[in-house]
Amino acid sequence: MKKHSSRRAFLKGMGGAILALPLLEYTHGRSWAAGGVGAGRRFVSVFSHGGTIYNMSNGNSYLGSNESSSGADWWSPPQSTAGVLTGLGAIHEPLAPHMAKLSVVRGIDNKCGLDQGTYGGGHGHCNNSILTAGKISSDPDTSDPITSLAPSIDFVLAQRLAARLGGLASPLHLMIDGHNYGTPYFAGSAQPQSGESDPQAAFDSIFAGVNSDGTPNPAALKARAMRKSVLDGVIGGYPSIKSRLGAKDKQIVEAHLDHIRSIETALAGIEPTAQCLVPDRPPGTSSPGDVVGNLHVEIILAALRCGVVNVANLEIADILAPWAPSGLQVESAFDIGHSLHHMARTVGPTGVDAALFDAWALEMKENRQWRIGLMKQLLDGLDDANFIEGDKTMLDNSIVYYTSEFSRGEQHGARDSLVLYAGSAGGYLKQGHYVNYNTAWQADPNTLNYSTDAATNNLYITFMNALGESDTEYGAMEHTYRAGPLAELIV
Amino acid sequence: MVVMTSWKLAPESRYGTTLTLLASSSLSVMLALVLACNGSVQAPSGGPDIVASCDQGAVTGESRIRRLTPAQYLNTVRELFADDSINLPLGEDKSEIISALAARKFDDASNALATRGVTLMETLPACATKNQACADDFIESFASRAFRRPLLDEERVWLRDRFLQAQTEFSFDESIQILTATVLGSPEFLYLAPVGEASDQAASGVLQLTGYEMAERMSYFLWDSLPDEALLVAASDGSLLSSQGVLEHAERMLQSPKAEAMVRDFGEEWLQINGGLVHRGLDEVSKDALLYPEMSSALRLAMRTEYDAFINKIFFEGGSIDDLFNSTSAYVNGSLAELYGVVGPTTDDDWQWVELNSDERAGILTRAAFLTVFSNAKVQSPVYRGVQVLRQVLCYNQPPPPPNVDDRPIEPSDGPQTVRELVEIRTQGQECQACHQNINNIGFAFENYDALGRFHTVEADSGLPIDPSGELVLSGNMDGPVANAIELSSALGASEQASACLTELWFQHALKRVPSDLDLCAMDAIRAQVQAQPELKSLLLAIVASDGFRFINAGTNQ
Repeated sequence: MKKHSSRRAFLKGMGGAILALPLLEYTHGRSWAAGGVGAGRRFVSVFSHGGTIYNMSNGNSYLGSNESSSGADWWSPPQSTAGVLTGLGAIHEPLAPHMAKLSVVRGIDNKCGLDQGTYGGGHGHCNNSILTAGKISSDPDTSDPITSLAPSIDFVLAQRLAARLGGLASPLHLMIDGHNYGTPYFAGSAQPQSGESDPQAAFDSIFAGVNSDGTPNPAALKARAMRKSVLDGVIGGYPSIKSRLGAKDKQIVEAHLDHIRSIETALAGIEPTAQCLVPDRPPGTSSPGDVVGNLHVEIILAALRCGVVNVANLEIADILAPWAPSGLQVESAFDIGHSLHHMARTVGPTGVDAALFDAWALEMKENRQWRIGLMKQLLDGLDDANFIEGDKTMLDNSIVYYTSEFSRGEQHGARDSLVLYAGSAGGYLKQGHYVNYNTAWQADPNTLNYSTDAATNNLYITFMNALGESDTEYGAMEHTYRAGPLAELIV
Repeated sequence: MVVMTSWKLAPESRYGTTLTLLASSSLSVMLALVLACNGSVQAPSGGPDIVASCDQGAVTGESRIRRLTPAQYLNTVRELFADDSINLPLGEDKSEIISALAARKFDDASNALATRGVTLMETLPACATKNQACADDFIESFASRAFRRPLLDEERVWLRDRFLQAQTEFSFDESIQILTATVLGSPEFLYLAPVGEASDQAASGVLQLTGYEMAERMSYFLWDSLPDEALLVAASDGSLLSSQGVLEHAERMLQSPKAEAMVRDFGEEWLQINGGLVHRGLDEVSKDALLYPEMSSALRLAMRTEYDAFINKIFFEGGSIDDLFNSTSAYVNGSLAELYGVVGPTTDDDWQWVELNSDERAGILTRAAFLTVFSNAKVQSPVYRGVQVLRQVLCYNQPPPPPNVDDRPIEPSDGPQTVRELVEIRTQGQECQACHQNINNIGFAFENYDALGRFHTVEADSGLPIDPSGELVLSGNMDGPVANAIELSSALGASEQASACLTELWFQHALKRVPSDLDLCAMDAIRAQVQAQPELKSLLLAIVASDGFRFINAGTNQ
């Protein structure tokens, strides 16, 4: 990590400059004095833009079942007590084979988005905070969000795990392209990240140089060696321009060179093993989403099995899913998934579009099940008994985290975020478990009231600890209800 | 010492504490302040004060280095390798610090282009024999062209060392490939990083661009590509250090087809006809097949062609901002002539300039491309049209809709209710009216145009007559009722705010940064120039000759 030292030293002197380093050591570097850490080895985020069918309102209450706005909740498990997961919400049905390794958690607020956002969240503020739990820069006059001032959890973990376990220091980030209101992924302050939408380009970035049967490809290996020479040359030329750059400009170029170094690390190549099976090179395409999604998952699985990366992101845009079994059922404005969400406001029992509820619900559920189906494909691959790590599957040593910027899409709210994960991080996290931090629900499972003391900061501390890090803080802790990890999630 | 933090902008301004867009309430105050600019201008917090005034030395806003846009990268490598067919996938992110994906795309691109360096090398006289002299000549010619200036000694050493290092492992041609990709992947190629030099024309802390830096900035603004030979000669002989020299070359550059492409791209970006956060672009916007069976990919392309041709005609044939909003000239083929109801070409392969009915059409906002994009699948959308005019024509920072907004598309009414009436009902709530009073008043003026931009006076579905009356607001000096889009466009053509908005958007486009308070003197000079010479081409010339363009302010980047 020496390569970052000069820039970090500079930034400490800057005192909160917007251009910052990937890791905010001020908030992530404190030791976890009490309690141990887990032995998890990898982290995968599945980010589904736009929320889901959930009954959380924009305020401190759940939506009822007899309103103009549909109060349907097909996310939460059908059980009235916390503890062992006994069933799954309709959206999660595809995950039934993995129920014993799932955890569903309700009542965790994106408090950073809530505190810093307008109308209890909002597109920009929620996207800029849901994975960072950090500060957001906003327009001083309009309060419109500009960017995140903190790295997202995937990037922090990628750097930490790479330092301990090897592999790339940045996540493998693949995207099912389409409409969305901004990325939730950040490499650091004001450093938004986007995902590769072309599976072939993603494949080439990792597996170029190796045939699908695991044998070396001499021509590709030579190309890789030449490419490495190019990267050496680019990095080697930096001193010639460095002296002519101002301090802030240096940060811009050095961040670019950091990415170049990551590319170079990836070029170090992979060694095919029994665990590392290189898939066939996929076709070059960025649509349709159903084809690309499956290809992306296979690439992520292969990259994880080969140890190229410890962290991967599958980002799914807020798109309609015409390939779902029943196809498109209702007319959505602008052909974007978010408009489908907005219809939730009027398809409730007393809504003006109540007659459309069945059609809307069918399309909505299948759209969301398609997304969950991609998570299932990930879990199938990670839990495959052919890829055992000691006495555990890869999934057992992982956290696969599914979330979104909103819980319920059209409410644009930052309360009661979507938290679903699989894997125990080497036995650190409970599995097959349901937790609900809504204290009102704990007293009365039929309540429409909502109150919690858990925030995404606490969740991400828990994840960090589960993956072997000793942090006691994550992100902007002033935007939390309590300190430390979430003990209820830990074995 | 007058510290001009009082130039904090009106709350409704898009850029907050940065440059005003002269919203109506603040216009007179702003102009007065600008004209009274004889104090000092304070740099952003944390930076040094810069003693400057509008007539006592150049001052400009802080700027960072910036990388080539994807379009600029492609144009540049097409010129470097003399191949207009080069097309490569590049990352589109616009953040100051490049994303991992965009960095990899640049790396992919430079490696994909590497073999072209060998082809270039083989054309060099010194490369009849492939030896070190050949490699040195290639470095000198290719890298200096790519870097848009003569090489520095340390750059020669760096690149020569890289070549020698490559030769220890690879063949001569492969080493040239490595050299080519190294140049194309280097910050010197990917970033515009002016250093500037001291000038007695500049205020303290402000530096003038060198000749080569000026050539680079001019070419990447006016051409979205690298400087040509004539510009580089001017850079070397000092011609570009004077406003006069800059203007002479800018005039020449604006006669190039490359400038037409730049203006076309700006025009499409300006009104966002290629899509935005909540609307689809012209190529994708959906139209109901039963209501609009004539909609086709060919018609979409025709609309775009007309839109681009119109903007270029206004800019390059002496048109003014008034012409932009009011001209009835239209470049049409058979389908568009039919859509506009004018006599003209009868086939889609035949294109002609025609004059549209001045009772029905006036300028860019009444053309099919704009009206089609800002419509729903079945009917026109006064809301989207109104919002777009507020945001992009008047630079008004229209806030996003609240979370509980009913955004279902307005459906054709069996009636008897018009789209206008349905929108009025939908937005009649007090909480809606805070924004929709402005949005609707402007958007309703376009009610004479259906979802395909066809002129109609009676709505097809409701059978009711259309009421296109509205009201222009936030225009600075032209607020008031309008009978229809013709009157609205006429008022926009004379609107101080529309003119200030367009000026700022061009300034931002030229420098790829949001103007700041420190640019107010430059902006004032540009506006004065445009007032004296209303041709839109003169706006581009005024920007290029402005202090904001010719100088840099290292500010807190020291």
